[in-house]
Amino acid sequence: MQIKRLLSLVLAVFLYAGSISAQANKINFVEYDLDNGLHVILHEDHSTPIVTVSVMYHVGSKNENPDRTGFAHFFEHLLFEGSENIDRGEFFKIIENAGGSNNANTFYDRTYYYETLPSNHLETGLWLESERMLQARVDIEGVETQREVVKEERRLRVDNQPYGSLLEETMKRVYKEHPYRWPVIGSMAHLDAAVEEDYKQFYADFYVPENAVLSIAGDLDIKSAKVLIDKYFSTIPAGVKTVYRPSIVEPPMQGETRDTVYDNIQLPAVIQAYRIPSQGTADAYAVEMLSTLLAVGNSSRLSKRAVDQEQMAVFAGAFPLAMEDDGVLINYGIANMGVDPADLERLYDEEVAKVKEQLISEKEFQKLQNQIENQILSANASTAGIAESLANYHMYFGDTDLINSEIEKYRSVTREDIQRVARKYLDFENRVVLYYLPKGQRP
Amino acid sequence: MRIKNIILALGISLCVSANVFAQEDFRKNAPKPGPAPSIEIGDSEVFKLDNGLTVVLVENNKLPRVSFQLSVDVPDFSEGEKAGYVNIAGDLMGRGTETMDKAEIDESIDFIGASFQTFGSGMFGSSLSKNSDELLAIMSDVLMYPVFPEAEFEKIKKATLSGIAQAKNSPDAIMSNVRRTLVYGSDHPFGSVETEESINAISVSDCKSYIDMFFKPNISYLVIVGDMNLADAKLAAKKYFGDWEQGEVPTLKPMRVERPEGVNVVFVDQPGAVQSTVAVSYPMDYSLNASDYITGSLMSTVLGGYFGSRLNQNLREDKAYTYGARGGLRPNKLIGNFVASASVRNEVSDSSITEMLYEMNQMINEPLTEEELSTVKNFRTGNFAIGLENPRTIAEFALNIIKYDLDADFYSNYLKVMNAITVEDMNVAAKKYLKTDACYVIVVGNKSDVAESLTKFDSNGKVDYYDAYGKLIEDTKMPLNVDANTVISDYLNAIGGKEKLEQVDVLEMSMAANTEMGELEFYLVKSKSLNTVQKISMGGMTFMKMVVNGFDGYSEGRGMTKDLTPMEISDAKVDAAPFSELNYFNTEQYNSVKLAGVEKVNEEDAYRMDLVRTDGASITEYYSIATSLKLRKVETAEQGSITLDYEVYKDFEGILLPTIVKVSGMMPTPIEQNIKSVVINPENAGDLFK
Repeated sequence: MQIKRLLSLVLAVFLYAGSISAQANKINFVEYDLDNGLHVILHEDHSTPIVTVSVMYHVGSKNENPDRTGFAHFFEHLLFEGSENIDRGEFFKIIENAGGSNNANTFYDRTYYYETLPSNHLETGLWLESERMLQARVDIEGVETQREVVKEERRLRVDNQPYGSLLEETMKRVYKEHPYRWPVIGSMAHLDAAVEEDYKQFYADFYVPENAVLSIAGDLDIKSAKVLIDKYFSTIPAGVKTVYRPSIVEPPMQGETRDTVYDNIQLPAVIQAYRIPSQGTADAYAVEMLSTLLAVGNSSRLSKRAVDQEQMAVFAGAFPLAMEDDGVLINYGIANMGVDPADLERLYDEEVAKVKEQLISEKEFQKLQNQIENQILSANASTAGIAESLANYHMYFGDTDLINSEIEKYRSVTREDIQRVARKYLDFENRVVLYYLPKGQRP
Repeated sequence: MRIKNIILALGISLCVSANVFAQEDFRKNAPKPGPAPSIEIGDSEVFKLDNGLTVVLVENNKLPRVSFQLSVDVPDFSEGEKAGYVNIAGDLMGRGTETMDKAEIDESIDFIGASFQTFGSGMFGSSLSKNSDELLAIMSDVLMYPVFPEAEFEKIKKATLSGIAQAKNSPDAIMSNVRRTLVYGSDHPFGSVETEESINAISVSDCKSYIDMFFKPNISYLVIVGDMNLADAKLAAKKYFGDWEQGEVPTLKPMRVERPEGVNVVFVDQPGAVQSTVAVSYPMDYSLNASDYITGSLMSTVLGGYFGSRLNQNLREDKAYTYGARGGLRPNKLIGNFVASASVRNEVSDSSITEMLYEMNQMINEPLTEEELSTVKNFRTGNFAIGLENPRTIAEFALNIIKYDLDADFYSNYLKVMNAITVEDMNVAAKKYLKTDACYVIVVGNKSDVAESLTKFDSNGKVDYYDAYGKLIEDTKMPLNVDANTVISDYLNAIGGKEKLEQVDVLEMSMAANTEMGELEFYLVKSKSLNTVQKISMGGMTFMKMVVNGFDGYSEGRGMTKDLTPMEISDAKVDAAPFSELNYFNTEQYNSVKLAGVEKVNEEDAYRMDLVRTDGASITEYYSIATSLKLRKVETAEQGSITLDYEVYKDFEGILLPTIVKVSGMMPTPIEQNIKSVVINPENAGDLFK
């Protein structure tokens, strides 16, 4: 009985060793440009009577003036203050009164706003987003309120959160020239120093239709949606000048940078951040698979060895931050109690060396492909997720259909590619190593 | 619908031809919504296996995946001295079967790109639907043939202990610990808190007997959601869970929960915190099967359940105290609770509590407007529809109906019932469920900045201090025959004696501190005549220098020299005496010097002294009971407060001085000053003040 059970399990696992074959349920969409340059993407799905209306603006912290950092994120707050036709504080009320939910987020390369509404409120969503784009309320009163809220956000997420400054501390050491060097939330001093005119200028420079993607998914009729979109968006004037995109190229790293951050923590952490190529490149897909190999799943190399076998870490992780310009792969581990972070770091270095020296096995490669397939087939579970993915693919790659075809990019990555990118990018000369230590250990 | 669109289209073409958006009158008001779509809850199927396992299926083919949630409806009981063993048992169960060790389980799960976890109350797995057999085979094996390996147990224990250590710095984890022990009591199933001690008391056999006793199909539910039809679900359930043996499960007596009497303020000190986490909370009988469950839930939404809620509008949008404030009732079959909470900046901790209590009282005392009621109904209706996009919501509905014995049409009637709720109903619910006169006010924050301001809320005018695990820190009794005079004279004796200290005319000190910028050097001269020198430099470059000599004084910095104003000179003299404690009872310098109690400073019992200086500054000092030495000084003036911790006293010509002074507050990061040299009555003293 037991042997039989064992066999059936083993068989079950091995029989599946085929290639990535399943096709994701295809996402259909239509897309077009308005005369003012606004790109529109529509996806129709009637399974739930709801619709997500979203606008992605191609402005993130990297577009900021180095003396006015934090603006992109600040606008994510400010642009809920209302507009010419929407009174202060009404933006949320209108959405909530319609039964909707909404949110917004900002990162290094872009800012994203969306609301999910019962589908009979599609027009409400279009009205709100068109007002935000056309004539948002950008004045000192709103600036002052939101400044305080953003300061609380910083205290909550960065200053009062164990390891909350991890990304900020890493990025400022990886980048010396490129605007990725400052944090998305920016400098509170810059926000304080900025005057109303600075804020108005930023709005005029970046919140223009040619710098935006309107992406709508859910229970809609494409024909009538187009008519409404025309009504609300076609008369929004295009901007008067070219949108600023930094052309700063970060020079290659000049050897390894090592540093220590003392934080309100109990367990030390080790962070190894390697410079990697920008998103969409063949190497970026290979690096993503490499990071999956290292730290996705309990049987991944770092998790298995550091957390399970040697118990040097309570958690091992790797996240590739592939962005429009060269990004970073952050391998990190939170040390177990009493573990010297230097020992944990040695273990990480050994595992990276292994990938460089030995080609991964066919079986492990198959596992990687299965993991990636699973991840891709599981995406697109909600209208909100679909609207965002569609906008992302258009804005970053100019190829909206990647939502259906991106899996091919992963499929073309070979075992040799994974070894090659490990050798090329996971180099000591190409990294920042940070130790997070408890404040009490400050010498 | 069609006709409406054509009319709209015509409307637009007219506008466009005018081509001046300023005239776009349609923008002035929110557009009218179309007719409300009908909201239908997707189908679910429920069936039972012979062993008593209840299976709930929600079929959804949108994505080629399926998930299996096995929940064991374990009766609530307290883990007592071994808090944490249910979680550990759940984790351990998934780490080895008679035929697979942990590495093999992990490998098999990762190989199909699936996810799988086990918990104290069951397990969860999800995979692509084509891999469901492989996944279920593993789940079934883990459920029926776990071996609880000792080595894995040790690993979990170690990781749990690390987690507990980590949580010491997480205000949210501390709040959760303290709130639960207060609201339910530490003996209650919901009130036990994991500590280092409780984890170390657990053995493998505790874990094994827990699983053996409670993991039975007759009290369990298997919830299948995703790409699987009824016939396949029946086959799969039978094949993988049909052999699971049923058995008797002990029933446990419900526990009584003590309600708070009056308002009880509780503080957890988290030195160095830049925010306070504040909460108002209390236990409350409130469950899904309460007759007014939906009214209570809607009332909670108004108070703190959405962005436009009263708490969030007041604390975030109007006052900018916080990034977000939330609050409301949390239902539970055994006993529910109420909690309102926010993370706020230190200096508005007390104001935030005032506003929270104010908003609760408003709900009790004033009826809602019809407009607010209809807004919140619309919000909830829309969110109900949005929730239905996720098939798990439908599964949860089906499961709740079974578990809570709700009417079969509870969820299909939900919106109808909710939309019939009146302003009066809401007011009745607010009066029933909101208790501002019998609650816990809990604050996790920086004691020196915050704690004092909270006494006003407490019915007995006293703040209770708790540790991070929800244990009351008992007040140390004040010894007899101790008063402000004895504390200060004991201190003066301990560092060298009054006579010797009075012979110090001039005290010259150099200190250094490592900072992110490099090593900062401090130079300080104090004197009985109140002449003083203060200098801060780095690598020979002076940032700031100030000299006071009699009625004259100047400052240097950034290459500029300027004379001090008489005001600045008198300010500088306030702290210029080598041992200001000699003058504490001189009423020209100090308005009051009081012994305020016994408190702990870095685990050490200390007398707390509260002083008010004649210049208006308030000072709190702590003197060790054991050594009589001064441990800490907190000085608060208009600009903020600064804390100095004195450590490692050493002898300098018969006088004890601290060789390490940790300075925090009013600057981005604390610094630690180390004494480099001390000269008592230097020979060329007069020249120092030039």
